[in-house]
Amino acid sequence: MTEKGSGLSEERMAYLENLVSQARTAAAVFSQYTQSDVDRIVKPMVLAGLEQAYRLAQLAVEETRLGVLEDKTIKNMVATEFVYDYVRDRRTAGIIREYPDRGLLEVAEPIGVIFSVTPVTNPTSTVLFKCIMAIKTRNALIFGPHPRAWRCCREAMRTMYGAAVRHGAPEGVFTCLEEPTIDDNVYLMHHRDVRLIDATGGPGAVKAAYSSGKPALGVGPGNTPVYLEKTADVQMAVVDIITSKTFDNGTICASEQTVVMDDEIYDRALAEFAALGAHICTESEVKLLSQALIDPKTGYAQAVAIGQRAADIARIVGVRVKPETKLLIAPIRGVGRDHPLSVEKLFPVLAVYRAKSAEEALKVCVDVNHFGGLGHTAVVFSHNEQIIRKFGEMMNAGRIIVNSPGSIGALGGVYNDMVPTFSFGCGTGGGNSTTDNVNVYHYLNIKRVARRTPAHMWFRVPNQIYFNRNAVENLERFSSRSTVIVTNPSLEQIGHVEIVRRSVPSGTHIHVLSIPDAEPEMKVVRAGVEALKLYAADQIVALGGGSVIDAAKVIKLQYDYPDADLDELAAPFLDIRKRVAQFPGGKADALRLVAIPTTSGTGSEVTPFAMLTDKARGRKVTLADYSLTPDVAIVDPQFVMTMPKALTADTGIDALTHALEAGVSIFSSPYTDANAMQAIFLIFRYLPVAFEHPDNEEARAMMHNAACIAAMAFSNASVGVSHALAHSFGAHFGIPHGRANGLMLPHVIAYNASVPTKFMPSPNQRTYVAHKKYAIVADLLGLGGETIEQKVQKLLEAVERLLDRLAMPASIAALGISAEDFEQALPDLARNAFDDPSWRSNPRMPLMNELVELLRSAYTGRATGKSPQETVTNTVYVDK
Amino acid sequence: MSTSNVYLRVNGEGLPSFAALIDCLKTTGGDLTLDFASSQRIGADALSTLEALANQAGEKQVGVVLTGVSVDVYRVLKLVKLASRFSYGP
Repeated sequence: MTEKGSGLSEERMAYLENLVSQARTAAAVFSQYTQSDVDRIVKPMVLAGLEQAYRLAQLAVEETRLGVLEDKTIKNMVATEFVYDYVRDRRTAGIIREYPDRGLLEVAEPIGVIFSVTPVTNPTSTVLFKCIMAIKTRNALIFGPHPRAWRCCREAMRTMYGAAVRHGAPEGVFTCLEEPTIDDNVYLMHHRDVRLIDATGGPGAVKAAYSSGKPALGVGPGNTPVYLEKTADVQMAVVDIITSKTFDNGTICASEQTVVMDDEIYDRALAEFAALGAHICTESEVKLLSQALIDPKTGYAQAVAIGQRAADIARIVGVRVKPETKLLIAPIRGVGRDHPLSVEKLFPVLAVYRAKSAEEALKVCVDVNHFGGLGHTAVVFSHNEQIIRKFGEMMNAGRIIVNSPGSIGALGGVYNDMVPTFSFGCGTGGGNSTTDNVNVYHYLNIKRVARRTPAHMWFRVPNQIYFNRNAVENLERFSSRSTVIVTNPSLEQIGHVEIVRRSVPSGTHIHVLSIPDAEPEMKVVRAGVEALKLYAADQIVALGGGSVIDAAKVIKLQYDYPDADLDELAAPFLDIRKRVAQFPGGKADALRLVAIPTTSGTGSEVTPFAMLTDKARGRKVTLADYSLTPDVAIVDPQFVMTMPKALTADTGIDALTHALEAGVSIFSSPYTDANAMQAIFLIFRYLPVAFEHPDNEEARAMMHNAACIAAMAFSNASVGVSHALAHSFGAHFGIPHGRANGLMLPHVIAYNASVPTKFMPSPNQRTYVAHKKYAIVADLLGLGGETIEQKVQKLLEAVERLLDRLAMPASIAALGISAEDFEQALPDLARNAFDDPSWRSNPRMPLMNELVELLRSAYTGRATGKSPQETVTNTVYVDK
Repeated sequence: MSTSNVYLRVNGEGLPSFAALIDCLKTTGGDLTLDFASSQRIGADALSTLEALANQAGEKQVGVVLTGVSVDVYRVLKLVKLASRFSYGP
């Protein structure tokens, strides 16, 4: 029930309630019908409509006194036959479309009860059209016809209803208001059981529909501009315009209103119009027409003229024309209220305008379009493709008809391949919800059944990795005219550069670029690019730790692609597959990058990451893209034999963190798991040995391999919260990256093994598996434990024993950072960690307060002896 | 408590009048059970009958239980806002 429509009598309200009740029941019953049920009903309806096309046209002309019998008959036939041709094979019930490759189904859901307002200008054809749409979509319709057309509408509805019910449609599926009033419309538009309003009519009806608060398809008036451009086929254009503008005496709202003609063809076109039965009005006749046909108060056309013959209009106005005159042509000099005939005229009076140039013509068309025609229809006659496209861009119209009649063209299906309709969506320009030719899909709720589709995964590493002692000799395989070795001064001093130099094929010009042993700066990159240019290099050999290899990656990028914008490439992203910034690539003669690591930790020799410092702007730039991955990695342990103990520990723990975080990452896969697990196994076995016995070649070699293998895992599965925290905390207090990871790692393992406060969305994982993965690691290491919880605990203890054995600090406090300084920095540390992209692949989505707690926990000390739930405020994840 | 089971022929003609039965149930204190197990669809007539039944049963404070209602039929009852006026059994 509604409060609206209070002007109605009790009896009238009961009448309206009964209509709605019938429609609601019919719609509910109809919702059970299948596609074949529906299709069985539609065809006989269409045949019934076709059979009655002439009679219904007669009724419409008799009742409305508008239009032309023959044309209305044609309209009724188009509304049935053409619409049926469009809907015949379309699925509109049940599953209507399937996209197996995308895992998507589209399912049609009927709307229910639709209240449909129909116009006086096209009464029976609109009813026929909407009946077909409603049955095809299993909806019930209540028609609210124009008060001057309700009898013919009711008859059209009865024609369709009889055929529909005879072939199985539910009773009550169509009803039609008798002696309708505006109050009836208001009442029904606000009725809670009316689900959609489909208002085809004047601006009042459309506005009322949209004001009701209901979903509405409101399609209203237009003001169609036509550009008759000088390259057009003038004869054809004139015939088309006359055909269209005189069709049903101009009652179709898409019909031509003002024709703007190029100066060059203006006279010829008018002569053609005259020759084909149009009367070209004189200035004084234009004035008479303006005064008689346009309401000076509203600026709209007088209703009395709508749908009348040209000769009758002329007679009423006092213009003498031949009785057979088809069209009155009124030259105008502008558009707007000062030029009354530039408005929409649903009768055979056509304004024409002489334009001195294409620019002027387009501007006048824009004026007409904006003078009551926004969103509706525009027409262009031209053979100039540029003009046609420009017109299409400039006109705000749902239908831009080219070299065809506006009214019949807009109806669709006759002159073009648009959807046949009797309801023209005018978009937001016309205050409507669509620019479409309204069709069956607007009478449906279309539901999408979206299946879970695993994201594409990959495993990308350099296509050549050489390892074991003297692997550097493989450099001989790579011919080069000019090679630049990027390295550190210290590595030159201890003879590493010389070893590399000896392995490069003879005849190669070799140049050494020695850069500081620190995170590379932009000026280092620029110097590197200049060196490559100077020596016309075709190969870089990066010999060093992560900083050197990162620098070489960026130097190569800037050398191969000088226009690469590092600022843009460093833009944050959530998913590397959907990132905004795209790295350049595909250069045929791109530089070869060979990476030879001299530490066993970062794995930069196989990763797609590079970090550098932009000191001028006081910030770090992190680049990530597989195009950064070196072409060749040489993992030769002879270059790590002299690593200091602390560096061995820090880089080794960095590698362990890579492997453990990749292992539980939401992007982990069987490919990355294989690498992560092997790396963890090797690190637990060989890192203590390499630390305690630096000369042990086997331990050094295995740790060097382990770091590279771990990097292959995290290059494809990424890392997690430990890295995010370590980046933030390490940068703030100047702590080496591996050591910072060692401080965070036990706490993060416990955190990830607990029941997450928030899960990370992860289409590739069926359930939360981090705790199980840790248990698998514990099994791999032979740590014992029966349950998952016990195994996680054993792993925690094993990690802490390893950290102790490597003499890693047990807490942030142990680094000498005061509690006061730490607490002061804590908000920034948590915030920076949250901004760090590393955690985006963590299995558990960290909340800000959880990051704070993890940092506090790391400040206090190891998780030894604490169960996971004690480490962070969560319960341990326990399942089978 | 006695219980009556009545099979409703959906879309059939000559649907039973429930008035007498409801009077009887009011006296004996039983519920009326309608078995929909053989009905995959429901028509307008049956909906109309069910609405009348719901009204009569409500007035007489007699419980009406629908059993074997398929989800298709249940959805129609929801659409016509009749679903909440009945109890449901397996």
